[in-house]
Amino acid sequence: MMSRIDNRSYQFIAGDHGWINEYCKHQPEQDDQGRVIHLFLGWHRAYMLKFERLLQIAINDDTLGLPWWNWRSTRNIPRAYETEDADGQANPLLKYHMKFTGRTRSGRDVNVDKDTERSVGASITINEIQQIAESNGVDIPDLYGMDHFTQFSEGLRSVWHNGIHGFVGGEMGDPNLAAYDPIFYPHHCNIDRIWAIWQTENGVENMPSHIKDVVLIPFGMTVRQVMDISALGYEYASNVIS
Amino acid sequence: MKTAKPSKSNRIQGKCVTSDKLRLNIKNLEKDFYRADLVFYDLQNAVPSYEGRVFLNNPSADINTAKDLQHGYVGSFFVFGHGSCLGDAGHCDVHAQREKFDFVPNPLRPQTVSLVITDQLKKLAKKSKDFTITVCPNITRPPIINQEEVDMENVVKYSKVSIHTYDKET
Repeated sequence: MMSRIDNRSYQFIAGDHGWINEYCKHQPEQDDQGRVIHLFLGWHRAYMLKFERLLQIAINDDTLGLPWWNWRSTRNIPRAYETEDADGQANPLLKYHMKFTGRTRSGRDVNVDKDTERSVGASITINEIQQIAESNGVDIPDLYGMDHFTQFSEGLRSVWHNGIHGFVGGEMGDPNLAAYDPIFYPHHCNIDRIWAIWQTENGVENMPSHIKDVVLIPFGMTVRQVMDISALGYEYASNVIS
Repeated sequence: MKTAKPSKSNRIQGKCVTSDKLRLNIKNLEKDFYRADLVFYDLQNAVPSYEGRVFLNNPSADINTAKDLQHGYVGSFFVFGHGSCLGDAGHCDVHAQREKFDFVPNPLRPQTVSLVITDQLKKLAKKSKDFTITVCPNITRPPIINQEEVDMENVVKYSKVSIHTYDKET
């Protein structure tokens, strides 16, 4: 395993989202001029790109692509992420061993040396999330019918995104620690896929102009630079005939 | 960790919070509004993740209450709660203005959450024009690292709740 303090390591990347760096963007913020900005989709696209690229470098294969977890069709943890063993070895997609120290705001020293855990379905099921999404008018087909970026982004974030974090539970239920669980990445890859599909109907550049030049820290890219997945060199085609 | 009570379904329920009474000044339910939103202001995020189940005129609801209109259920919202702050002292303090080199997005900042309740409100308003709003949290147990810091009982915290109705007159 790569050294934890190598900035290409899994722990380092997971720490970009939550503890320790906490760069992640979820809820709306205000820019310097008081305008509301929604960076949830753009930030996580840049994050998935970085993670995927580092995986490609690690195995020296530029064709590797992140898998996505379509929770509407696979209503439990995908098998590859829940089995104990893979090819006779401990499955690295099941859990990650976190190791770091810190101190909370109340002054309590924290010495973390444990595997990520899950409490799948303990607080909510995917069927329940779907019922809530339907009732709120933000199920995926509803979202595809929205032509307003902010409405789409907030609809996707607030129910399906948040709900799936709660469904998996454990570290996934806390933004500080969620990205340490390997299931985080196929979950967010699916979020990115849904945005990409929405963009095919509603336009790649469909978002408020004042967010396009916001820099996505720590990736050194602006929202504008992550708008178009074809320019970034990937796609989510369900079927390719060549 | 302050404990919350387990529900009959073994889910974790925090304390339900009920608002003061709100009066709906609507004469014609079918014509006077085409959309109604329930809006929670300054909903706290420094709590464990939870599903907030919203009931109108059912202050005795809990998370075992049926999620149907007969029991006043009008929908749920989710909070991807930040739990406690895992940074050192001052790390997660909420500042009005961000410092120049502070890259942390301050995830503890309270948020505004809304639910569309148009059809539900039209049906319930036939019985009464006065409404209380009860939110019952169905809590996702926080990871072990975070448990000592988290108040599992007092999860639902907001400054104000409003019912917004919209008509088509300009």
